[in-house]
Amino acid sequence: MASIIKTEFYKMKRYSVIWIGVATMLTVVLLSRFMATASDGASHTLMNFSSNVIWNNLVLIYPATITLIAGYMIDRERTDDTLKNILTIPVSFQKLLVGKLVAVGCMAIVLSAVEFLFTIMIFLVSGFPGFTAAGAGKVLFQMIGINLSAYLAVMPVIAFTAQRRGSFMAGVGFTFFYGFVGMMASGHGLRDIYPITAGLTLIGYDDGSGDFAGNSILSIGSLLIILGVTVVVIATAKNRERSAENKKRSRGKNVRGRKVRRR
Amino acid sequence: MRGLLKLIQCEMRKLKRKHFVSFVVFAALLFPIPFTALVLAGSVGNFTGFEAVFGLLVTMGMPIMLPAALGIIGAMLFFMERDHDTLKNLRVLPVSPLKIVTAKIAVLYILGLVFALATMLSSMAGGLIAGSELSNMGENIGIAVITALLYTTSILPVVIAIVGFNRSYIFSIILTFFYTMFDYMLAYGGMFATTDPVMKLLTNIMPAPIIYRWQASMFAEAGTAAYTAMEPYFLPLWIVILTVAVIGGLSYLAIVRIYSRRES
Repeated sequence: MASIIKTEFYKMKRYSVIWIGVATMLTVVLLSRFMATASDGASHTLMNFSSNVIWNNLVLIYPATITLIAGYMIDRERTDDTLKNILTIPVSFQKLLVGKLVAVGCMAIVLSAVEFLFTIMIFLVSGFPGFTAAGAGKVLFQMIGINLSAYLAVMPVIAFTAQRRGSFMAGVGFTFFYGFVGMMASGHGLRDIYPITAGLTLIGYDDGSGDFAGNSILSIGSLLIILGVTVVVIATAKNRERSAENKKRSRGKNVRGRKVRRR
Repeated sequence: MRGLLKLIQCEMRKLKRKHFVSFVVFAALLFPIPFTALVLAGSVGNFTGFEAVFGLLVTMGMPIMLPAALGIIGAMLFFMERDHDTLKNLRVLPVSPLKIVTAKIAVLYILGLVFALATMLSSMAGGLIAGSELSNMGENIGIAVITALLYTTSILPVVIAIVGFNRSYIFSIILTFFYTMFDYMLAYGGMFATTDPVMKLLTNIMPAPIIYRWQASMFAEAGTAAYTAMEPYFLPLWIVILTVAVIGGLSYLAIVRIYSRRES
């Protein structure tokens, strides 16, 4: 398994999609800075600026982006026609999937660090007050924590859509919606139960209202259920793509496209 | 005109292979589930049943899912010839780039109307589940269709970028999501109410804030706090249509120009 994960890191170096992840992080921070200009007269400390970045990233774009990156990485084995070679080594589809998911998990941590760096840079350039090293450390912890928990929340979707060629696009569309609904779930007291927002309580996120303490047990329970669903999806996962020959045969034709007489 | 109809028919035939229609219907059916749950929980202010589900879908579901779905479909439509290397065949037939672009954009509008229909049907189903009668059907169908047409036009600036950059699907999808979210946040973050001049300008030219201000005049009930807060920002429909039509018209010309330069 370790060598499969290591191989995924080698492959990652070639993928330009990583830079899309970096660009996404930069854009989210810039969007939050842009939104800050609209809040007339409000002061922006490191904690409330970073809270805005965390929130915007979580409900607007991160779930879809990480699903897109993971889905693209898995689908590349099909578009580059390397999946058949890997499966005949033999490395099972499940092992390959676990290797990819672990590698994307590590990338989620790296992207969180990138998000943190951009947040600090924009914060300092904007001349906002209240920078402390301890505060910055807390922000880094929060960003890594929430991005990992959100990644966990979308993992079943990634594992499910990875089993067919091109299906990850539907998964991206769904996670875009899934992330966005987090905004409404959080506003209706479901923050700890809804998987996307469940991590907010665990990282000690302050939404500014000051009246939401959260329930850590519910949050952990929600994420554990999602982890359980992911394990089930991975345990039953296989490459469900039919080869061209199989497609023709199922339509009653042989490899050369001639009709097969059924007996 | 007959040639254009044939081209639209051709584009629709290509759709069958890519399952676009089912993708649009799938996107339209996502939001009714949480919104019906919200209505059943009684968390939608003065509205109940069908009116509440419909109001939520048209004002909050459609501005998110329709541009996102049409952006992805727009990328697929405009990259189809590039991916299969068939643009050269079309150009030597000859079919003018103007006609090809018009047919593809017409398909986006048709899918926008499919989305409006799916929204209408799902809000009727949600309303019936919530136990209410279906009221003001004619007016609501009109609102759903106008909203779908406006949001379909709103995605055309993104199509300019998709066609212009001619990059990967990944780039196009991320671009679409960012545009949709940015537009949505300008409207639903109440950015049109700020005194910042840049924000004022943006909220007067971006589609979602102006569509939202028209929708608010339709859905906010007179006498409520929401109505009083929003009243100074209400916009009549003709201003919204005019602004969005200008954005759409300029985008259409830009897409035709960029697409005409492409040879394969």
